[in-house]
Amino acid sequence: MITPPSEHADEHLPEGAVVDGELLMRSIDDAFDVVVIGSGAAGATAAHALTEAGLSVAIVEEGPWMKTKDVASDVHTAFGRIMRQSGMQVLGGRAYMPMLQGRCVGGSTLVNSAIAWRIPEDVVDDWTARFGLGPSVSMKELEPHFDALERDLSVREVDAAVLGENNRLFVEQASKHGFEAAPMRRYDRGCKGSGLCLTGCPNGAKQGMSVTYVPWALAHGARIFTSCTALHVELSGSRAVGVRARSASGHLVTIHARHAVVVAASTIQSPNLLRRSGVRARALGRHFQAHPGLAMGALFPTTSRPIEMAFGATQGAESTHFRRTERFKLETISLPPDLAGARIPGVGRELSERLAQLAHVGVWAAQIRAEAEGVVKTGWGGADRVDFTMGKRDLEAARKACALIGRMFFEAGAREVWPGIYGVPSVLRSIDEVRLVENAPLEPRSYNFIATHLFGAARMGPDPRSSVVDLDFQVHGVDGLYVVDSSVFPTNLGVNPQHSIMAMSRLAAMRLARTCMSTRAIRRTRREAS
Amino acid sequence: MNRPRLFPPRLAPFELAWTDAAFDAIYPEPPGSALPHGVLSMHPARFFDGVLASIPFEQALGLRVTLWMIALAPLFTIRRLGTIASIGPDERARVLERLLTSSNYFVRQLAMSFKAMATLLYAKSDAVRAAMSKPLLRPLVLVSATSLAAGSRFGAPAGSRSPRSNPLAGGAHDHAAE
Ligand SMILES: Cc1cc2nc3c(=O)[nH]c(=O)nc-3n(C[C@H](O)[C@H](O)[C@H](O)COP(=O)(O)OP(=O)(O)OC[C@H]3O[C@@H](n4cnc5c(N)ncnc54)[C@H](O)[C@@H]3O)c2cc1C
Ligand code: SF4
Repeated sequence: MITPPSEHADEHLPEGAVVDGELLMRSIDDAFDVVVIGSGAAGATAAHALTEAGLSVAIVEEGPWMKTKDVASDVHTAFGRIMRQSGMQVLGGRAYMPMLQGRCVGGSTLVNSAIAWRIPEDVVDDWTARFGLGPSVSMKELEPHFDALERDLSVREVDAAVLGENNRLFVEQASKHGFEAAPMRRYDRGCKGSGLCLTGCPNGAKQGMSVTYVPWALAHGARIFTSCTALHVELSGSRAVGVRARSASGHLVTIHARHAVVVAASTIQSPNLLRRSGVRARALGRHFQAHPGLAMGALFPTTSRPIEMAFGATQGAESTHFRRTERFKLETISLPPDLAGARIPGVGRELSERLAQLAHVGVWAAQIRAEAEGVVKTGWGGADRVDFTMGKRDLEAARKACALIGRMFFEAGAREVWPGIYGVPSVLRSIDEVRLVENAPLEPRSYNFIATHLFGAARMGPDPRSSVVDLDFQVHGVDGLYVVDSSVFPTNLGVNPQHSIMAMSRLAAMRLARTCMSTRAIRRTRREAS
Repeated sequence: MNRPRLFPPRLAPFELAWTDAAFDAIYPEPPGSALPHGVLSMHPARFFDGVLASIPFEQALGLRVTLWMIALAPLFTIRRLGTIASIGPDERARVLERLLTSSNYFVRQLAMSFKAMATLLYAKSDAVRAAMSKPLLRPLVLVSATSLAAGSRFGAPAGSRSPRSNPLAGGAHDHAAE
């Protein structure tokens, strides 16, 4: 086990590297080689790669910087500060689906579970076969980036010492069931198993962007404008020339881009930002996809070994055994009491009795690789809107996953399982009752999904009629405007996306850096010649 | 930062009273609870009012509508003339259970979001968190296991209309809204 760094990387930042939009007292007009919008997985990775290549970079980030020392562990306080719409954002459609997105330096990497998965080879093959992405985006192109990311961000398997019972029991149960499950590989520099990933790591152990690539980019000379919302990208003819933003204190921030603007505001915000900037691609906003997730809880006898979700890596074990055949991935997740309470059946005395036994509750979950496609729109007052309804096959996958989890829980000794499916009793008391889950309605409104993995809506492809960005991540028909987050993914993945997002972003940034450097060299030669 | 909004206006005194009553139905004081204290000592009305003032307009409106729905639900769920604040603790819990398991999707979603709010506040208590995270050394018999076996606690009274025929009135564990 390694120990987390004693000094957090978000503490000692270069003088003047952070412009805090909450405190800004005047308008700003500045110029950089490249302006990056968003400091999450995609934006921070791109900014770091670009600064390392010697370019001057500005990062514009809508949210504040939550430093490690200020991380709050109660969900209400934390979500109010660092989650988009305080965590109350939903996908619309036949059913409402809560959608969580970080809105802070580091984006969703501040609040996520740090699970690292390389894009599966079959997905890359599919992108080549159906969307014409190869050989520009191929496993061969991506692999060196995955290697670099894994070195930089200390990707490692969860240490046995911090695995925790919720995770250990899952692995044990899966192997009894005859399928493969294992501790996760995560961005981890000394996880202490505090189970608090959802509200930000208080130990600086989780290698999110706010303690890695953002401060490292600043150390290389980048500047970040926090609490500044990019309003639109400024276009001059068909060329991106800068970004217009507004600080939380109400001042205008204008940043000119000498070479390029890189949009990395995430799958929902990037398409709408492009729209506000005048991009009119037919595919813009279309083909949105997700991995809707659902969690099931179970109460174990108080006489058996306690689960104690409060100890162990928040998400520590998983199985991708059913990814290709059934389109779901199984995971463990430790829910803090603030969130668990709402999902536990009952109110009043009954609820309190279950909560009094929270140390004996386990939660396991499934991420569905949904086939359904949605649309990202701009709604009333400029708000982001997404229409997304899961199809019958998606619900069948969800139902199968729930039944499997239910059975595994009972076989592990649970005395109650809480499926959380309308149309099925909210408390199951024997393995025989799992058949009720197997016959649960195939109706989106019956399930309590939550969306955290988002894709598409500014798809990549060679044809401007069916895609938004070209194979070099540049918006078709707009010079110098790049999109590098998962909105360019032609499909979802079936595994957690952060690692693939970062690898794609790094690939894009390195290509862009080469272009910028050669443009710079050409300009210099011309200047010298004249 | 999610900055405070000016509209819709802050909660009126009667809405504050409804909020206290509805939160209390979810997390009552002992002996109605197996945890160290109820949510009332944590000033739920003040908390809820603050939340409404700091979240986006649409969500604030949704939560406010939820409050009204819960406040007036006794009439539709248990056929009692009165608001959530004017009925007894047992009946309040019954009303909340019915809403959470309603056959109407919107009713149960709204009720669920209210339960989530109450939980966010309740879990801020150190005493409550400590009690929740401590493993129990002796078995605890669940009320639900005993009373539901008897079929009495939250089910519709004998001879009443089926709860399923009224979208606001679900049976306790017929369906999971949670
Ligand atoms: C709770 C949770 C758990 C997750 N767990 C995992 C996991 O364990 N492993 C995994 O692989 N994935 C996980 N994910 C998903 C993963 O975190 C995201 O897919 C990934 O972070 C997306 O990267 P991104 O850069 O596109 O967006 P984000 O990381 O969300 O960053 C986008 C940034 O852009 C900023 N922004 C948006 N609009 C503007 C604007 N107009 N101006 C300025 N800034 C703007 C936002 O504030 C945000 O900071 C999880 C997500 C969540 C929410
Ligand atoms: S489990 Fe705790 S220590 Fe480990 S990464 Fe998450 S928040 Fe940090």
